[in-house]
Amino acid sequence: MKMPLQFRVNGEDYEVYVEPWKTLLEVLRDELELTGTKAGCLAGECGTCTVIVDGKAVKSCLMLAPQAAGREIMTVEGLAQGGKLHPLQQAFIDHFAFQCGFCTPGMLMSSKALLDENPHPTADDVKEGLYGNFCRCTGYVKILEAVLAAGAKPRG
Amino acid sequence: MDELSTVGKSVPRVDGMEKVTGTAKFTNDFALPRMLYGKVLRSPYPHARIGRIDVSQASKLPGVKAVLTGKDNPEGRMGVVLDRPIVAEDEVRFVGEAVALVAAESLEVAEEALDLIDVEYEELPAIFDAEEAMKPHSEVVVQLGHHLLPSIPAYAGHNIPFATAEETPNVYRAFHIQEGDIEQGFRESDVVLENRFVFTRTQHCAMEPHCAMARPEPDGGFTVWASEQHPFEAQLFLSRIFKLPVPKVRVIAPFIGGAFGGKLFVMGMPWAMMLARRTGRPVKVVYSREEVFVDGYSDVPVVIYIKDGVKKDGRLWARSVKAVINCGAYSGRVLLLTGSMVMGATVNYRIPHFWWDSYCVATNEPVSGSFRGFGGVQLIHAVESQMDMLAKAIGMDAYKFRRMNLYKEGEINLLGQPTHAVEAEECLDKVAEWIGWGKKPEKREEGPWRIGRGISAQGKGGLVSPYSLAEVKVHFDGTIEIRHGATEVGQGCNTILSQIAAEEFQTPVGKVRQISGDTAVTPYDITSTANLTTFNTGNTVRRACQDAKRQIFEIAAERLKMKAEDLELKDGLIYTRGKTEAALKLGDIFVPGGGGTAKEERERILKKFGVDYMFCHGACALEVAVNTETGEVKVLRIAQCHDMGTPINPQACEAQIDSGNGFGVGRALYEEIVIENGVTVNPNFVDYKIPSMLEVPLGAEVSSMLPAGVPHEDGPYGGKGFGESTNCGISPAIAGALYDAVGIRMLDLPITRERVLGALKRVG
Ligand code: FES
Ligand code: FES
Repeated sequence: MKMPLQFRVNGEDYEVYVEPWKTLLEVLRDELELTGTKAGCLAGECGTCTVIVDGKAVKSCLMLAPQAAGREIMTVEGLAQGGKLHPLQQAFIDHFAFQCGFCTPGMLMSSKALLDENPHPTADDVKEGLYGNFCRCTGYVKILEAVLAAGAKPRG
Repeated sequence: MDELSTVGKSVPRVDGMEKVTGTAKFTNDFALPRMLYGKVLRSPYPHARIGRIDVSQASKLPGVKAVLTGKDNPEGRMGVVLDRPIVAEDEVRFVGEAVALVAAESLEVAEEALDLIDVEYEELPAIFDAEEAMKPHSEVVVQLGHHLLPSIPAYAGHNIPFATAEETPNVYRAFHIQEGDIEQGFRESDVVLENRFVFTRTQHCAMEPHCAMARPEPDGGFTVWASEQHPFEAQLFLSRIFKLPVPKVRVIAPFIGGAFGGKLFVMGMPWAMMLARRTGRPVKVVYSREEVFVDGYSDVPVVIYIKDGVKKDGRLWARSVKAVINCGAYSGRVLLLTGSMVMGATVNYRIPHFWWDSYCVATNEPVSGSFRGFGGVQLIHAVESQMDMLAKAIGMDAYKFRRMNLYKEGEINLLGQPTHAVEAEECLDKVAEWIGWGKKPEKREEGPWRIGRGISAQGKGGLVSPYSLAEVKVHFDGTIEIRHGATEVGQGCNTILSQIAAEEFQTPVGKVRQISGDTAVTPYDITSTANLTTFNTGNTVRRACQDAKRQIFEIAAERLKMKAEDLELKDGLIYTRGKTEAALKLGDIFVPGGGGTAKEERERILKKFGVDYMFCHGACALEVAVNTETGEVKVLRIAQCHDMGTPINPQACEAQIDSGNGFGVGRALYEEIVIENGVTVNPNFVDYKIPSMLEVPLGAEVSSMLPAGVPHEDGPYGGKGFGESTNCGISPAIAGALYDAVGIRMLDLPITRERVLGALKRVG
């Protein structure tokens, strides 16, 4: 019952065989062994599984594998380029924007999608963009700071 | 100590790289060859006798490798008094209790197999209300003969006897302390005020659901990877459950995705081990979010009766507290809370006449657990709400009233412990100033919104323990390796401990490497809970570093024909005191012929500290807006200040304070597990609301402050822990602010819209 699935993940082409009822999250974690993307609820409620699909932040636990066919996907593993951290990653470190780090991959991907669309967001823009990502550790204070700081920097 | 180079600085977290690149591994990120997936069939009834269990259909399903029931249980049990069977045996006692286990080649097959297991139940009467269940001669007995079960050795220092009696079979434990003469205290008081506070059940909601993976080893033992805050305790309990020598159970706790007290007590592990033992293959058990809500050892529902007496001049004169704690169907960890909850009423304020009774009561609700604050949220809410009402009754300002009653340095508190290195007054002053206490808010109303302010103080104690061990290994290249048994649950202990080692060796934090959370390779640690890690593990790491340095200096002194006291270390180089040119490289002392190798030696802390507890105090002030049409409450601004002795990493400390805001606001306004006839009806994030970015104050509306920092005499560099208390003072401050805004006093939590609207209607 497996079907072939071709897609691009973090700039690499993949072809895998998966059952059509598998979610993108399962394919990423179990087939591609990209375990940076987390499974916090499997019901679209927590945001820990957020990845970027064709430029948009998507909760990968809600996307079925066939829907990902032919799409361009980015996970947290693809954020740093050529050994250099993405400004958001650096800002998260500089601002202590994580504690346990479980929400962090999803938080980073939602933030990236936000900044790609709106490079210099206001605090309200960030809240609007990230309210679907829960964090239980930080109280969000430093996450907001980090995203605003990354947004304030000119980016290449 | 002004010349410290690393301690006291906000160095970046040492786990940053891994956590922002997705390479930090949590338990569920590991998979093993030939691994099976384990799933749990759970009881639909709150109390029932189990009849026949037919597993034949499930066993036949292709891909199913094992179906186990209570008959396959190992000898031992779970819980503080070892009362919970790993899988239910003759009876189920709460909705969600494990009835059967399945291991299969895939998660889908395991889940399908659960549906094919046929269980016959005969329903029994159940009881859910703790006050009902504690009545003498209760008709419903949750567990017969409970008081005959063996107890664990006295809980770390609390020598609390089990006070259970035949006629109250559901009371698992009672705890009492007193001071002065309570009746006389009330007689001498000018105002006496009594209230009842009700707290419902809440979940920790760590973002990472619980996960355990067990691999059977050829020697009959197991290696277990688990999201577990206390690997050493898990090791001990698991070895007892499976009747194995302790070292044959190796527990590895990788990164943990938040814990808050919810990742203790071998959750999921015995199931994975039973299935691994039967199949001879590794088995992973991952909780669904629903399972976390149902059987995730949520925080206890509590009813608190509190009666206070106060003198007209503002002196607190008498306080009596009765707390009824709903333990759920088994002892879990909550038995311990019966005693430790008392902290919230005993370490902050001077009270000459005091009386405390707490009862831990079994019901047919899910098993309760420990939660950040360990009873502090509930008790502090009650105590601080009372403080507001008492102040009002005698016409005093709520801030001044608190301040005058706080313990001062050196005073012996109601636990018989000295107050030391607490900055309770400073904390209170700082938050009061920030919020503008005593001045009018800019606005008192806007449309349907009314604005008000509230303030609270809180204190919590942590046991100073002689049971945290650390090893230090100095590598050839000058890398300092520290091995400790504390677990990084997000609180930042790995960073703090690195800083301490870096300070001792005068080397950059990047030169410190850590190995932690693996019972096979790290020395014992009592637990990463209760604000303890910085203090206890921190002290131990520091002493182990000093011991390693002593040995290094001895070898180097011999080589250099000098005295060990005249040597110092910096950046991997050994210097003669006062000289700028290094005499030796750290690596040189490893070269043979030069006096041997640095001996690796476990530091034993045999000497107990002078005090049993260290206390951390804090205060919170905030401003809320309440919508008089919808009942919605928004926290507009919030300040918290907590004492921590010398902050080892100020920015990480601030982050810990911020962290309490989200927790505290959620608890105060939204969070509540709704249980109807034993069934958890809202086990998901849609129906159980936790705060998102939209519900907490952020940016300039938040101030997380540290006081000046009075060093704690016994703490590492004067530091101590505090992270557990930062969520406790928020709900009473919100309740106070609501009163200030609209004149309603909310006693119970959470303060939902409906409750606010109801209360507004009552006052008209
Ligand atoms: S796992 Fe996808 S939103 Fe929670
Ligand atoms: S850092 Fe732990 S959930 Fe966000």
